[in-house]
Amino acid sequence: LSQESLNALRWEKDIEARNKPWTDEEIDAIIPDGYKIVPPPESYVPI
Amino acid sequence: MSSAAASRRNVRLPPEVNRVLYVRNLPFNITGDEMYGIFGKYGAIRQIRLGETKATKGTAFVVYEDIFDAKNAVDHLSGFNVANRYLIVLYNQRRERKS
Repeated sequence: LSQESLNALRWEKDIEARNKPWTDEEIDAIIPDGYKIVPPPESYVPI
Repeated sequence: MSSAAASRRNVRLPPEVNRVLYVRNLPFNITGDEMYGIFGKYGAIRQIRLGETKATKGTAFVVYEDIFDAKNAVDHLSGFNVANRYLIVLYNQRRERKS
C-alpha cells in the first residue's frame, strides 16, 4: 500500500467514525437544556 | 453510494467539522417546518431542536446524518437571510456533558 492509499484509508476510517448513526442518548448528551425537539413536517422526505 | 459520495471519501475533514450545527440570530417565531425547509436542502436531518427559554430563544441545534451534509450546510448557510436577519451557523463546539 502506498503512502497515499494508507492516508486515504486512515481518513476514511476517521470519517466513518465521525459518521456512525446517531443514538438519541448521544444527541441528548450534546444539546444543552432549554431546547425542544421539533417534529419533522409530514411532507419531510430526507434527500 | 453515488460516485460523488465515493470520491469525497478520501477527503480529510478538520476536527471542528461535525454533524451538530448551532444556529443563532433566528427570528423568534420561526417554525419547525421553516427550519426543515432551510436546512433540509443540504441533506438528511437527524433532529432539530429549537430554543424555547428566554436564554435560548432565537437559537437552535440542527443534527445531520452525514458529516459532509453538515459541512455543506455551514458553507452555504452562513449569512443566509431569514426575515431580514442574517443566520449565524456554526459547528457545535460543546463538549459532550456525560463523563
